[in-house]
Amino acid sequence: MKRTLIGTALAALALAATAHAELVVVVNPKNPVASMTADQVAQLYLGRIESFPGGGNASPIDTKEGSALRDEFYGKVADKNPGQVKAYWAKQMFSGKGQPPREVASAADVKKTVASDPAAIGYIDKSALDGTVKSVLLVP
Amino acid sequence: MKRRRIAAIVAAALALPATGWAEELSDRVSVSAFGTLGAVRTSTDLGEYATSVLQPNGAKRSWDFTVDSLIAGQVDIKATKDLSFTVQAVANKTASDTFEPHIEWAFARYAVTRQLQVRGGILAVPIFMLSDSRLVGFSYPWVRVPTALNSQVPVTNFAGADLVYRPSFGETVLTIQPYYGVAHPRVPNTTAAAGSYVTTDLDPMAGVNFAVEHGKWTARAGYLYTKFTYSSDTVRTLFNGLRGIDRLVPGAAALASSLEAEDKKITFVGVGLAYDGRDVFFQTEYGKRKTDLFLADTSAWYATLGYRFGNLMPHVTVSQVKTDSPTSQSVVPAVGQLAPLAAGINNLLAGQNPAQKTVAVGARYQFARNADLKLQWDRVKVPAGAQGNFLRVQPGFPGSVNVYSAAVDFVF
Repeated sequence: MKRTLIGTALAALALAATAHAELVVVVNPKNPVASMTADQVAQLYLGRIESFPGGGNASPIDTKEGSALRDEFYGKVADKNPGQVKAYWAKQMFSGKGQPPREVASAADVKKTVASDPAAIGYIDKSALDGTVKSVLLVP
Repeated sequence: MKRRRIAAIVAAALALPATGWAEELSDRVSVSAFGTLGAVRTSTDLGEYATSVLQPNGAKRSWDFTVDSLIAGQVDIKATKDLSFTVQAVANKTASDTFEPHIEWAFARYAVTRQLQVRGGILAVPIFMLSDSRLVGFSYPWVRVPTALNSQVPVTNFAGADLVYRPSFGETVLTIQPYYGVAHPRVPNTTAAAGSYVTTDLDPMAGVNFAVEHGKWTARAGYLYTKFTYSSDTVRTLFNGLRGIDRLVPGAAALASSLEAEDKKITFVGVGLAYDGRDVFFQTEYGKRKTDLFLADTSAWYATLGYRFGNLMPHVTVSQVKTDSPTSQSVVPAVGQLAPLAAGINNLLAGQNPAQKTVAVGARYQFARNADLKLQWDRVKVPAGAQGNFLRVQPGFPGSVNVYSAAVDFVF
């Protein structure tokens, strides 16, 4: 109970901290793609297309369900609230049309995965951007 | 959808010695489930509300938990980069009325290219906008997919193969999906003992499904062609009766041939349009069924408008089914010794009249990440002589019926 409360408080803090933060969509530095539109990124994350604009296989990475970063990403890029995203994937999964993006534990893990996987695409806070990954879209 | 965790549990249960294997397995195998606990009651005892004629009985004035409730599990296995397998088992109210789980899907999918897949096994029949997610209550706003349209072609799966070609043009994704196979849906025999059914044949069953997705818009069109066989003692007796009186009543044998369901053609054409925005949800579909047998020709449509207030979505749906073919015959006169036979044929035809008009209002509230609560009120108007969605309609059936529904849907 106590842990839940603390968790909730932390989540609320995290939400407050990131609610107006800028996100960046990042790929591996070896990926030839220089920039993407929000729609292209949304199509990848909704599983409607499976490859980058240039043709390379894409493997989208999500943070954990309920993370403020993730909710903000889907709200801004796909224009969907968390409930809508969940319902969308229920429909896709249970109609045999595919599986949601791979989840990793934290934003730091997103960066780590993208830095090591040439096919990966992820989203992180702009302040966390460094040379290990390449930004293809700024989400203000 | 906590698939990795569930997969990890499965892997642990299998007691794989090396964690590397378990990791690999959890990436390749996902186990998921969905379900609905639904309650429905109506304002009349003179008919039974069911989702389609594939259900053996339905709801009356007391709360019924069997019409909409279901539980389903799905296993997806990614064997290689290009080859995967999907099996879905469902326990719901079907012809046998036992809630015994059945295999709804079991198919292999091979990606020939990034845009072209070939699938084979037991597949969903892709005739409606939501035909392959129609059981997943969590994914749509209504308590059940609009029955006006979906009950016109109640068969849900077939054994065969399809091709799914999905090229994309910028932000627009096209789907072209031809399919071919056979289906053997069980139709409850409502005039015989409870739990008895007739196994029908849809052989061959073929069609093509087109869809265009552009951002929040989806448009689709589809065509289905099948040859249908339905043979029960009741209808056989009637048709034999007609052939027996052909010398007395010219045209009786021809009538039997035109009504009986032996390898008879049924076609269905459907179109739909949907918009799923951040706030506004809109979906409409129209379909036309044509048959060469005693089943009625029908046209049906629905339109739904919903608005999201965060996790709450109130919605309103208008739907209609029209019967486009005669539901009585004038070949056999209802006189003297012919009267019982004439009545039998007329009852058979009149019993296939799904005409109705419905206005439904409801709301879906997603109270948890993986669960929702729904309430819905349908006002169903059934013209005299028709049954609409109701089974065992009795004399005195009211012209309009209220249907009250509540459901909890979940996925995990």
